[in-house]
Amino acid sequence: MTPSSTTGREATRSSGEELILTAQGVRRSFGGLTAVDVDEFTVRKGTITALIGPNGAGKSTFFNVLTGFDRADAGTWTLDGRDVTGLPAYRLARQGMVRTFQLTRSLADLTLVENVLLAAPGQRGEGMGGALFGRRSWRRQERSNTERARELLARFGLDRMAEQPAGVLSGGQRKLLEMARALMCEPRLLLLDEPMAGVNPRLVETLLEHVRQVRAEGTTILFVEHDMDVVVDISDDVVCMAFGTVLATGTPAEVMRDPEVIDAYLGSDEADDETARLARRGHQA
Amino acid sequence: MDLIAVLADAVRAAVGPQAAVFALAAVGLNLQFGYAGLMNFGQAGFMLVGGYGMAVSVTRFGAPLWLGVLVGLLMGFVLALLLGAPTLRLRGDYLAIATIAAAEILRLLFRAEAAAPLTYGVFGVQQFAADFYAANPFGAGDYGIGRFALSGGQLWVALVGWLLVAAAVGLTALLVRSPWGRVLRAVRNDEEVVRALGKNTYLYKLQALVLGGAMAAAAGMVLALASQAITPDTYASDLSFYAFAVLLLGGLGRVLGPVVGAIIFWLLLAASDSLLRQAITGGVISDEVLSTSDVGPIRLALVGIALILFMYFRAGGLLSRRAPTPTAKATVKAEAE
Ligand SMILES: Nc1ncnc2c1ncn2[C@@H]1O[C@H](COP(=O)(O)OP(=O)(O)OP(=O)(O)O)[C@@H](O)[C@H]1O
Ligand SMILES: [Mg+2]
Repeated sequence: MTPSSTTGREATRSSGEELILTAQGVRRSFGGLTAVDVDEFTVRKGTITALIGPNGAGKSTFFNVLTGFDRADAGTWTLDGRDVTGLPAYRLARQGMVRTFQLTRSLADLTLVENVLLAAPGQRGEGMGGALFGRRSWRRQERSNTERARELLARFGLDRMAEQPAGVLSGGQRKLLEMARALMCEPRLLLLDEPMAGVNPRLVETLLEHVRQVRAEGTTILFVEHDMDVVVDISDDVVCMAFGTVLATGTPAEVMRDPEVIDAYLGSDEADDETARLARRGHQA
Repeated sequence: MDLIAVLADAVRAAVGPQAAVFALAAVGLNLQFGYAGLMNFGQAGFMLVGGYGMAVSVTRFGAPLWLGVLVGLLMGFVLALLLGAPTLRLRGDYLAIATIAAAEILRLLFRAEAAAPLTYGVFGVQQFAADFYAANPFGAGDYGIGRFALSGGQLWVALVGWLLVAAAVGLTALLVRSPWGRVLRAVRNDEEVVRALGKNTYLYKLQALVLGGAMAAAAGMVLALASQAITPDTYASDLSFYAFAVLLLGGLGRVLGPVVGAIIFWLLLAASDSLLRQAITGGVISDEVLSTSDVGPIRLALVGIALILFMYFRAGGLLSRRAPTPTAKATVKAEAE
């Protein structure tokens, strides 16, 4: 990464590029603890944006609030210019904001194909009336959806187990399944909470390739990640949180050089070598 | 001992109206608990409002039977909405508590003196089933071979009951094998995931509760028609638990599970009843050990034992696809040691 490319990107950022997600003044506290207190947060359309920060920084809570899985005490946020503050989770998902969970959650009794099929949007057999009286119509739709589901499973190397119940998968495979399922939703903005955690290291590289491809297909990605190599490798923008607030925003290089960011990692209980790596990264970039 | 008589008693019970009633209530519960994971411990309450909706409409308001049936179904529908709407957004336990309490409150309310002008109080009411038996195509004679026989009236209720069961099973089969059913099964697994994928899970749970409640209301009506009388205490909470027993015996989340379960349940119950009574009157079991009045509770204990054996050897019920895994068995053994 050269300094000139960094400035080039900086220029596009300030030129008022389209934002898919904006959040203002979002706060969430648990009792006396303010888990999230974000004044300003934006994600540019078409980017891969990493959300980093030490353990307990409030990243997952922020995700939960944005996606309707937790309520905010204050704040507003928009998706693609539309105010979506406080919408229930399922409506946000239908509007194209789809999330995965930090602790993987597979639907263990459903087969892998069913897991993915479930996520298909606009299913005609999903309502009770449609299920009973529109059998022809939804069966046709089901066939094409199944085809797509199998393609997605194949993409994540899960196609050989397609008919097995998801309960048999390993933790890492579940992460992959969760990703395939989220993609089936055809999201505009995909929020991934630590998508690489627990994934077989040999698979991480392919997974990153998938994420890049998802971006190439026009989906914006916001993801939480602890591995700085991954963050630097893949993200266009980085946002660092600590103690609920946003410490720094910018390109990977900028954020990793930021003394506040380095401090935050130093002050956390995370391994020192992570900090050292961070500092090194900053210098390299 | 007369084993043919035992067999005849068992078979009669297993195909009779009672078994149909239990099967119908359990089909509803299967949709709620087996597929959607909703803990409804108040199936008796839904049966009660169904039975009373019909009986009271006919006797108090002179409604024709068909209208009474519609009223009964509507009451099941409304009860499900009342119980589900406030609790289904909360954790599952709230529905469990609400349903078990509602069923008991309803029974007490219906037997209360103050409600008697509407509900006839403790002794209930008869004479609402005349239209139903007037339509009996079988007449009064017995049907069957030798001792394997049902009276014409019983046969008529049983036929209607099992037809309803068939309809409910058919409806369940169509629904659970559709995308709608897939969402429902997913909700049982992990509701939050399903919400994250853009489904209004609350609506699905409410639909399952209402549909299962309406089936239970229909079961309550068949029960009232079969005995040609209705009393509040017929719908005590044991009914709710029998519905669970039937479901667990047959197989949770299997379309035909409740049917198989109801048949086994009544086979066991009637056979043990008949055997014990014969053994006591025949002197095989001394009067001092067991009297005929103990038979009622003991046969239920036997069903309970059967249920435990089922849980041990066939955890998913008779229709379960999986045999218990070696690991599960090993765990049980390890724990026993
Ligand atoms: N439901 C809750 N009740 C009380 N406190 C909570 C709750 N959820 C989160 N917290 C607290 O809020 C803070 C932020 O937690 P959060 O899970 O959002 O952090 P995180 O950045 O995702 O951390 P990690 O990297 O470990 O996943 C933590 O101190 C946590 O203990
Ligand atoms: Mg987290």
